[in-house]
Amino acid sequence: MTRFHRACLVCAGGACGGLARVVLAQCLPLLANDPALAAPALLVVNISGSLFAGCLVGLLRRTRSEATMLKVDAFMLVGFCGGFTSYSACVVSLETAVAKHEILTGALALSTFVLAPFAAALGMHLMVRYPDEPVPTQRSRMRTHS
Amino acid sequence: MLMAIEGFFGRVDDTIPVLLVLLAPIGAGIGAVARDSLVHAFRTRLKRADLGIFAAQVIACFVSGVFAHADATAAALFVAGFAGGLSTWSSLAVELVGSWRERQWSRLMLHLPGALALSVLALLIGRSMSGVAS
Repeated sequence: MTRFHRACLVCAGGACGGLARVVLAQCLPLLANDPALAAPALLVVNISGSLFAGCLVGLLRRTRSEATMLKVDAFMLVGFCGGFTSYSACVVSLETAVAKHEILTGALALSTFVLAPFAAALGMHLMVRYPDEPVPTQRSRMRTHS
Repeated sequence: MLMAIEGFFGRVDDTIPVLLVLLAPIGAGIGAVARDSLVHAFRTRLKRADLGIFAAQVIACFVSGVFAHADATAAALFVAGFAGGLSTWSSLAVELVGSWRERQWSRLMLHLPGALALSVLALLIGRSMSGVAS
Protein backbone atom coordinates (compact mmCIF):
# COMPACT_ATOMS: atom_id res chain seq x y z
CA MET A 1 0.00 0.00 0.00
CA THR A 2 1.38 3.41 -0.97
CA ARG A 3 1.53 6.34 1.46
CA PHE A 4 -1.12 8.15 -0.64
CA HIS A 5 -3.48 5.14 -0.55
CA ARG A 6 -3.03 4.89 3.23
CA ALA A 7 -3.63 8.65 3.65
CA CYS A 8 -6.89 8.38 1.66
CA LEU A 9 -8.11 5.49 3.83
CA VAL A 10 -7.11 7.28 7.06
CA CYS A 11 -8.82 10.50 5.87
CA ALA A 12 -12.05 8.68 4.95
CA GLY A 13 -12.08 6.75 8.23
CA GLY A 14 -11.27 9.89 10.23
CA ALA A 15 -14.11 11.81 8.55
CA CYS A 16 -16.60 9.00 9.32
CA GLY A 17 -15.38 8.76 12.93
CA GLY A 18 -15.44 12.54 13.36
CA LEU A 19 -18.99 12.70 12.00
CA ALA A 20 -20.14 9.95 14.38
CA ARG A 21 -18.47 11.76 17.31
CA VAL A 22 -20.00 15.19 16.65
CA VAL A 23 -23.46 13.66 16.12
CA LEU A 24 -23.31 11.65 19.37
CA ALA A 25 -21.32 13.96 21.65
CA GLN A 26 -22.20 17.44 20.38
CA CYS A 27 -25.31 17.52 18.18
CA LEU A 28 -27.53 15.29 20.34
CA PRO A 29 -26.96 17.36 23.56
CA LEU A 30 -27.58 20.56 21.52
CA LEU A 31 -30.78 19.21 19.97
CA ALA A 32 -31.95 17.90 23.34
CA ASN A 33 -31.35 21.42 24.80
CA ASP A 34 -29.32 19.83 27.59
CA PRO A 35 -25.62 20.84 27.48
CA ALA A 36 -25.00 18.75 30.62
CA LEU A 37 -25.36 15.64 28.42
CA ALA A 38 -22.17 16.54 26.50
CA ALA A 39 -19.74 15.23 29.17
CA PRO A 40 -21.35 11.77 29.63
CA ALA A 41 -21.83 11.50 25.85
CA LEU A 42 -18.11 12.20 25.30
CA LEU A 43 -17.21 9.62 27.94
CA VAL A 44 -19.38 7.01 26.19
CA VAL A 45 -17.80 7.90 22.82
CA ASN A 46 -14.22 7.63 24.15
CA ILE A 47 -14.83 4.36 25.99
CA SER A 48 -16.77 2.67 23.18
CA GLY A 49 -14.11 3.83 20.66
CA SER A 50 -11.32 2.43 22.85
CA LEU A 51 -13.21 -0.87 23.29
CA PHE A 52 -13.70 -1.13 19.52
CA ALA A 53 -10.02 -0.31 18.94
CA GLY A 54 -9.00 -3.03 21.39
CA CYS A 55 -11.22 -5.54 19.56
CA LEU A 56 -9.70 -4.49 16.23
CA VAL A 57 -6.13 -4.85 17.55
CA GLY A 58 -7.02 -8.35 18.80
CA LEU A 59 -8.55 -9.24 15.42
CA LEU A 60 -5.65 -7.78 13.42
CA ARG A 61 -3.15 -9.91 15.37
CA ARG A 62 -4.96 -13.02 14.05
CA THR A 63 -5.36 -11.80 10.46
CA ARG A 64 -3.18 -13.73 8.04
CA SER A 65 -3.60 -11.47 4.98
CA GLU A 66 -1.19 -8.53 5.26
CA ALA A 67 -3.07 -6.46 2.65
CA THR A 68 -6.35 -6.77 4.58
CA MET A 69 -4.56 -6.01 7.83
CA LEU A 70 -3.04 -2.78 6.46
CA LYS A 71 -6.38 -1.61 5.02
CA VAL A 72 -8.33 -2.33 8.23
CA ASP A 73 -5.56 -0.68 10.28
CA ALA A 74 -5.64 2.49 8.13
CA PHE A 75 -9.41 2.87 7.74
CA MET A 76 -10.85 1.43 10.93
CA LEU A 77 -8.16 1.66 13.62
CA VAL A 78 -6.17 4.81 12.76
CA GLY A 79 -8.97 6.52 10.82
CA PHE A 80 -12.38 5.70 12.28
CA CYS A 81 -11.45 4.93 15.91
CA GLY A 82 -8.91 7.78 15.97
CA GLY A 83 -11.43 10.28 14.58
CA PHE A 84 -14.28 8.95 16.72
CA THR A 85 -12.44 9.32 20.04
CA SER A 86 -10.98 12.66 21.08
CA TYR A 87 -8.34 13.41 23.69
CA SER A 88 -8.46 17.17 23.14
CA ALA A 89 -12.22 17.34 23.80
CA CYS A 90 -11.64 15.39 27.01
CA VAL A 91 -8.86 17.79 28.14
CA VAL A 92 -10.98 20.85 27.26
CA SER A 93 -13.91 19.36 29.20
CA LEU A 94 -11.65 18.68 32.21
CA GLU A 95 -10.07 22.15 32.17
CA THR A 96 -13.48 23.88 31.83
CA ALA A 97 -14.90 21.76 34.67
CA VAL A 98 -11.98 22.71 36.94
CA ALA A 99 -12.33 26.41 36.03
CA LYS A 100 -16.10 26.38 36.66
CA HIS A 101 -15.95 24.04 39.69
CA GLU A 102 -18.21 21.45 38.00
CA ILE A 103 -17.27 18.35 39.97
CA LEU A 104 -19.38 15.81 38.06
CA THR A 105 -18.14 16.93 34.61
CA GLY A 106 -14.54 16.90 35.87
CA ALA A 107 -14.95 13.44 37.37
CA LEU A 108 -16.43 12.13 34.10
CA ALA A 109 -13.53 13.56 32.05
CA LEU A 110 -10.94 12.27 34.54
CA SER A 111 -12.51 8.80 34.62
CA THR A 112 -11.76 8.47 30.88
CA PHE A 113 -8.06 8.19 31.83
CA VAL A 114 -8.82 4.95 33.68
CA LEU A 115 -11.81 3.56 31.76
CA ALA A 116 -10.50 4.00 28.18
CA PRO A 117 -7.33 1.87 28.68
CA PHE A 118 -9.44 -0.67 30.59
CA ALA A 119 -11.92 -0.81 27.68
CA ALA A 120 -9.08 -1.32 25.17
CA ALA A 121 -7.62 -4.13 27.32
CA LEU A 122 -11.09 -5.71 27.56
CA GLY A 123 -11.50 -5.55 23.77
CA MET A 124 -8.14 -7.24 23.19
CA HIS A 125 -8.94 -9.88 25.82
CA LEU A 126 -12.34 -10.64 24.23
CA MET A 127 -10.81 -11.16 20.79
CA VAL A 128 -8.14 -13.49 22.18
CA ARG A 129 -10.72 -15.42 24.21
CA TYR A 130 -13.13 -16.09 21.35
CA PRO A 131 -11.30 -17.80 18.47
CA ASP A 132 -12.83 -17.70 15.00
CA GLU A 133 -12.83 -21.51 14.75
CA PRO A 134 -15.32 -23.30 17.04
CA VAL A 135 -13.74 -24.95 20.05
CA PRO A 136 -14.04 -28.76 19.58
CA THR A 137 -16.43 -30.42 21.98
CA GLN A 138 -15.90 -33.87 23.53
CA ARG A 139 -18.38 -35.44 21.04
CA SER A 140 -16.77 -33.84 17.94
CA ARG A 141 -13.31 -34.94 19.15
CA MET A 142 -14.55 -38.55 19.48
CA ARG A 143 -16.13 -38.34 15.99
CA THR A 144 -12.81 -37.12 14.52
CA HIS A 145 -10.82 -39.89 16.15
CA SER A 146 -13.29 -42.60 15.06
CA MET B 1 -20.60 30.56 5.30
CA LEU B 2 -22.51 30.78 8.58
CA MET B 3 -24.87 33.35 7.02
CA ALA B 4 -25.47 31.15 3.95
CA ILE B 5 -26.28 28.12 6.10
CA GLU B 6 -28.33 30.29 8.46
CA GLY B 7 -30.32 31.60 5.50
CA PHE B 8 -31.06 28.07 4.39
CA PHE B 9 -31.75 26.39 7.75
CA GLY B 10 -33.01 29.21 10.00
CA ARG B 11 -31.83 30.40 13.43
CA VAL B 12 -28.19 30.31 14.60
CA ASP B 13 -29.04 27.78 17.34
CA ASP B 14 -30.35 25.41 14.67
CA THR B 15 -27.38 25.96 12.37
CA ILE B 16 -24.68 24.92 14.89
CA PRO B 17 -25.47 21.18 14.58
CA VAL B 18 -25.61 21.60 10.78
CA LEU B 19 -22.21 23.33 10.77
CA LEU B 20 -20.79 20.57 12.97
CA VAL B 21 -22.11 17.83 10.70
CA LEU B 22 -20.89 19.58 7.54
CA LEU B 23 -17.47 20.88 8.64
CA ALA B 24 -16.23 18.66 11.48
CA PRO B 25 -15.77 15.54 9.26
CA ILE B 26 -13.56 17.56 6.86
CA GLY B 27 -11.37 18.74 9.73
CA ALA B 28 -11.38 15.29 11.36
CA GLY B 29 -10.22 13.64 8.12
CA ILE B 30 -7.33 16.10 7.76
CA GLY B 31 -6.51 15.75 11.48
CA ALA B 32 -6.41 11.96 11.22
CA VAL B 33 -3.96 12.14 8.28
CA ALA B 34 -1.79 14.64 10.21
CA ARG B 35 -1.74 12.28 13.23
CA ASP B 36 -0.82 9.28 11.07
CA SER B 37 1.99 11.32 9.45
CA LEU B 38 3.30 12.38 12.88
CA VAL B 39 3.26 8.78 14.13
CA HIS B 40 4.99 7.61 10.93
CA ALA B 41 7.69 10.31 11.26
CA PHE B 42 8.41 9.47 14.92
CA ARG B 43 8.40 5.72 14.16
CA THR B 44 10.88 5.99 11.28
CA ARG B 45 13.20 8.60 12.84
CA LEU B 46 13.13 7.82 16.58
CA LYS B 47 11.66 4.27 16.57
CA ARG B 48 9.03 5.60 19.00
CA ALA B 49 5.49 5.67 17.52
CA ASP B 50 4.04 6.55 20.93
CA LEU B 51 5.84 9.92 20.86
CA GLY B 52 3.93 10.70 17.64
CA ILE B 53 0.63 10.15 19.49
CA PHE B 54 1.97 12.26 22.38
CA ALA B 55 2.88 15.14 20.02
CA ALA B 56 -0.51 14.88 18.25
CA GLN B 57 -2.38 15.17 21.58
CA VAL B 58 -0.43 18.26 22.68
CA ILE B 59 -0.76 20.00 19.27
CA ALA B 60 -4.50 19.22 19.19
CA CYS B 61 -4.99 20.79 22.63
CA PHE B 62 -3.05 23.87 21.49
CA VAL B 63 -5.31 24.18 18.40
CA SER B 64 -8.39 23.74 20.63
CA GLY B 65 -7.14 26.61 22.80
CA VAL B 66 -6.43 28.91 19.85
CA PHE B 67 -9.92 28.38 18.35
CA ALA B 68 -11.82 27.96 21.64
CA HIS B 69 -13.59 31.30 21.34
CA ALA B 70 -13.70 31.53 17.55
CA ASP B 71 -16.95 31.79 15.58
CA ALA B 72 -19.13 28.73 15.01
CA THR B 73 -17.68 27.93 11.57
CA ALA B 74 -14.03 27.98 12.74
CA ALA B 75 -14.91 26.10 15.94
CA ALA B 76 -16.67 23.35 13.98
CA LEU B 77 -13.80 23.01 11.47
CA PHE B 78 -10.78 23.39 13.78
CA VAL B 79 -11.90 22.39 17.31
CA ALA B 80 -14.54 19.69 16.74
CA GLY B 81 -12.98 18.66 13.42
CA PHE B 82 -9.21 19.07 13.12
CA ALA B 83 -8.26 18.91 16.83
CA GLY B 84 -10.75 16.08 17.43
CA GLY B 85 -9.31 14.08 14.52
CA LEU B 86 -5.70 14.87 15.40
CA SER B 87 -6.04 13.76 19.02
CA THR B 88 -7.19 10.27 19.89
CA TRP B 89 -8.14 8.16 22.88
CA SER B 90 -8.28 4.81 21.09
CA SER B 91 -4.63 4.69 19.95
CA LEU B 92 -3.50 6.06 23.31
CA ALA B 93 -5.53 3.44 25.18
CA VAL B 94 -4.02 0.62 23.08
CA GLU B 95 -0.54 2.11 23.64
CA LEU B 96 -1.15 2.30 27.41
CA VAL B 97 -2.24 -1.36 27.51
CA GLY B 98 0.97 -2.32 25.67
CA SER B 99 3.09 -0.27 28.09
CA TRP B 100 1.30 -1.87 31.06
CA ARG B 101 1.89 -5.39 29.74
CA GLU B 102 5.58 -4.68 29.04
CA ARG B 103 5.96 -3.06 32.48
CA GLN B 104 7.20 0.20 30.92
CA TRP B 105 6.23 2.47 33.79
CA SER B 106 8.11 5.48 32.44
CA ARG B 107 5.98 5.37 29.26
CA LEU B 108 2.82 5.12 31.34
CA MET B 109 3.89 8.15 33.36
CA LEU B 110 4.72 10.03 30.14
CA HIS B 111 1.33 9.29 28.54
CA LEU B 112 -0.96 9.70 31.56
CA PRO B 113 0.12 12.54 33.90
CA GLY B 114 2.83 13.88 31.56
CA ALA B 115 0.61 14.21 28.49
CA LEU B 116 -2.28 15.58 30.55
CA ALA B 117 -0.11 18.29 32.15
CA LEU B 118 1.46 19.31 28.83
CA SER B 119 -1.93 19.23 27.06
CA VAL B 120 -3.55 21.51 29.64
CA LEU B 121 -0.54 23.83 29.37
CA ALA B 122 -0.81 23.83 25.55
CA LEU B 123 -4.55 24.55 25.81
CA LEU B 124 -3.92 27.53 28.12
CA ILE B 125 -1.11 28.87 25.91
CA GLY B 126 -3.38 28.53 22.87
CA ARG B 127 -6.16 30.41 24.64
CA SER B 128 -3.84 33.19 25.74
CA MET B 129 -2.57 33.49 22.14
CA SER B 130 -6.13 33.84 20.88
CA GLY B 131 -6.47 36.85 23.19
CA VAL B 132 -8.78 35.27 25.75
CA ALA B 133 -6.95 34.40 28.95
CA SER B 134 -8.62 31.69 31.00
